Amino acid sequence: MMPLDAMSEYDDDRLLALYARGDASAARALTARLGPRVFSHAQRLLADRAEAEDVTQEALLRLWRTAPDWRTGEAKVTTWLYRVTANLCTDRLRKQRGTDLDSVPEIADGRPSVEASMHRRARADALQAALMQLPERQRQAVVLRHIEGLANPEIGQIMALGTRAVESLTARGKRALEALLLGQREELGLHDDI
Amino acid sequence: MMTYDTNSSGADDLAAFFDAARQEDEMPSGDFMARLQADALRLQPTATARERRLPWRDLLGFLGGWRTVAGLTAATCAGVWMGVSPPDLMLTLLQDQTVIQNVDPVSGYDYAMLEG
Repeated sequence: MMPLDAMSEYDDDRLLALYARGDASAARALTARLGPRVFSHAQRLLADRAEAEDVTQEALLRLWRTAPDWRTGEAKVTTWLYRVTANLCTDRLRKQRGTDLDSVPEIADGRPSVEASMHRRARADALQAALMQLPERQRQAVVLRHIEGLANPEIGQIMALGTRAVESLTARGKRALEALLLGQREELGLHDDI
Repeated sequence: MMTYDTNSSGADDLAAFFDAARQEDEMPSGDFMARLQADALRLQPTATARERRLPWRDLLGFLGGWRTVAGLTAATCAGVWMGVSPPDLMLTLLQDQTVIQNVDPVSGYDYAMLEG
């Protein structure tokens, strides 16, 4: 068994292969690396911490079960995980739809704030609230492109779309976000610090 | 690859929001991470289990999967059975073939030469 620190140089594929061979350090390293990433993505798509935890747990359970049959080099582990996470989120959103509108966070109400960190929090909250108003696929594309920072071809693999379709989705998503958010720039402390 | 798109004006306008979202990223709790790790260790294949399953699984994969192996097995059984107890028709065909093998095609050529 290898020390956990030594695992930081290994890519996900290699770690998953070690995991499948019974290396407990690889199990810990992969959990530490992928758990927060999946959770964060699920949280952005669902805006619900408990649901995001459930989705994260389920997505990783599927990864562990798939590990022995994983074909190294065929797909990126993170691409596979984003896809599974998005599908699980979609299932949950379908179940919630129309019954749980109160849980969507409200757009920041523009309370004056002098602290930069408060502004940042308010902007993040406002963005999350606006994201939740986008159609699901637009939200997913915008999050993957502009927050997770993935390239369009990888997003295409995750969402089973061509690159042009991804570009179109993110462009429409951004336009919708602009319409929702840019009117609040001043209220969110954006008049002098961007 | 992290490639944040900030070229278009829309992205510029929204950049502060996206930056804030990245910086204010919600992290999973320690308890939750511990649960994830427990899952990973619980479901991890043990080295011995993997070794035990490797020979037949690898062989199966090498031969092209269980469908191919089933076909090969059926063909082998049929071959063995025909060897042990050949059907009458096959015996007849083999006998016919024996007769054909006894024909000397050169003899016809010889006759042709003699006639020519």
